[in-house]
Amino acid sequence: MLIKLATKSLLDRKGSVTLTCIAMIISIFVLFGVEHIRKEAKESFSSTISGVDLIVGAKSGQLNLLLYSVFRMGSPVNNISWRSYQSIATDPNVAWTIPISLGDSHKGFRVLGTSNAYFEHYRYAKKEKLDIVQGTEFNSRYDVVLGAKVAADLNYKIGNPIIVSHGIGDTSFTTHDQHPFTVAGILAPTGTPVDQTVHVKLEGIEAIHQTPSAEANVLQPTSITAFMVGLKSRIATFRLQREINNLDSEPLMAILPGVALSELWRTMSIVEGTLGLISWLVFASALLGLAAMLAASIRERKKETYLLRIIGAQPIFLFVLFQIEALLISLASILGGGALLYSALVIAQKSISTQFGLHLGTNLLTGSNALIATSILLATAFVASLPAFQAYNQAKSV
Amino acid sequence: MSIITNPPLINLEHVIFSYSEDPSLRVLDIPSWTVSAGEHVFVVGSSGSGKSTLLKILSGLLTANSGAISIAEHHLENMSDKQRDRFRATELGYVAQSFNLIPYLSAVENIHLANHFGRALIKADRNKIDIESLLLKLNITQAHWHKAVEQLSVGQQQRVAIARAIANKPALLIADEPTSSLDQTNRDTFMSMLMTMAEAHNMTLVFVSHDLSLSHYFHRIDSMSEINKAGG
Repeated sequence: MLIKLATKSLLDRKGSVTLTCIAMIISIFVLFGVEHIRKEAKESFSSTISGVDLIVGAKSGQLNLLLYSVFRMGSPVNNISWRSYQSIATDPNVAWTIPISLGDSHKGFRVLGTSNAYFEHYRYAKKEKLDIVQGTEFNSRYDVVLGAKVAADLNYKIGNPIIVSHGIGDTSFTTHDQHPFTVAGILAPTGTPVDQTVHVKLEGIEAIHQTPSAEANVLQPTSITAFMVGLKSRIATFRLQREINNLDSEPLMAILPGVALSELWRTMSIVEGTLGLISWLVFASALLGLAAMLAASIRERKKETYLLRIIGAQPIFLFVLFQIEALLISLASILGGGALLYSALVIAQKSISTQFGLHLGTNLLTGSNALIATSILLATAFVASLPAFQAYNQAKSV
Repeated sequence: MSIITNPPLINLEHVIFSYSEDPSLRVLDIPSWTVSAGEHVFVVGSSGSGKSTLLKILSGLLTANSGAISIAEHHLENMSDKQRDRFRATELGYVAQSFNLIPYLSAVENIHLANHFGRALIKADRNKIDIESLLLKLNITQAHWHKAVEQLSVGQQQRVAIARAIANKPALLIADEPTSSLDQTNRDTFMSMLMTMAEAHNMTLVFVSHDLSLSHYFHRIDSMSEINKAGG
């Protein structure tokens, strides 16, 4: 009976109730949206690389090494010698290595020199392998395998020639145009920086940086930027890491990708916290709007209150009635905000995925969202207790 | 007349009341006032005679400063706020001049609401009144049962108010200027239906009005100025 009365009473005040609901829906949409994107971004971020036990590069900071080797951001402070690479790669504990050579670009996309081990051992998300959807991996020195976004943006097909320029940025003045590469393969989208990478063979990188006369020689790289290591047994991870960090012959550094990733994510926690705070503030203002709407209705419902009292309602009935009205608005707004977010995700999913490389799931029925919904209802009950108490007092004094 | 010998349903003794805002001004001073069970009393009084205060005292919305108030064997002066709310829900039917119904609820829902407050408090031996036959007796056709009452005419609304007031079969029915917003035809219909219903369910009726033309429906006519010694 109470709920029926509250519902009909709200429907009777459609105008102000609708406006309040819209404010609540928008704020709840923002609240859920920020939380959802934060979670999905973190998920997508931490799934950038997996199945790699160590990343080895020149001594600098672990974030720097992670950024340039995995995210293709920033630049390496130094290269590492081929000799050091070979000595670690032949360690009995090492199962495989992926060499990485950076420093060139193609039309704004980073060029990564590597070997076929990359396609065999690199993993992302839940240990997923890179998938070559068209063509093959490297067969000859000047073969190129394109990330999905590179191929899509530049509209490249198998067999297209590619000119690599020195340095990064698409306005580089030095181009290695005497060495045209050919597109040999195109990768499936991964939602990671791999999509925006132009992969070439290590020997290809080496060739374009040498004079044409030396080109005929067997191209043994003298240095690479970094390499990724897969171990036979995880147990050896820390021992090998310590060995590499303490190497006398060359100042090297080995990092655990998972640890570095979570450190990198923590540096973004201020942005994360700020976004969360802003969305809760937006919600708080909508909630105060709800309380103001209820408070304003107390006076106009004076006769109604008197009537309820005369037919035997206790003052507490009015308190509960106002609380239920507030909670009904809140509940409807949670459903409305959720539905709005869901449709926005479904509509924008594709463009967000292609533009930002961020894959957003549409599952909103999660434990943390249930927690937020509960907090919203509790906050509503708390804020609504003020007008509800005023209504109670009015009922008591008739 | 047999009613006179009935036990009193309302009995007021030495009731004094003044509002807390102005304790020196006595609004009510009733040495004694009694209404027998089943009696229909017309109380005439102008505004300022203390009649609205008296009605609030009778319905337990206000408590007297001193004196004894007994209604249907309930001693209001000894009851808690909660007990008085229950008393109002089960023993009292109230028809006011206007706003007797929640405007956005239908006639049936308004009666259900009254039932809701009286529910579980009403003794099992008191049979529930059949809402539908009650509405039909009050000349509210089925087409109007489930409409929001604000869509009904004023005359219809006041008749639904009777239904709502007697839905819990209260011992006492109070009517406060219930006809002042009605035209002549509606007033006559309302009055005859109210009297019939009160008679049929053996309810005591206290009818307050300044309109003496309605007094012919009643055997007993009391003046506020006789009841209340404090009245101006």
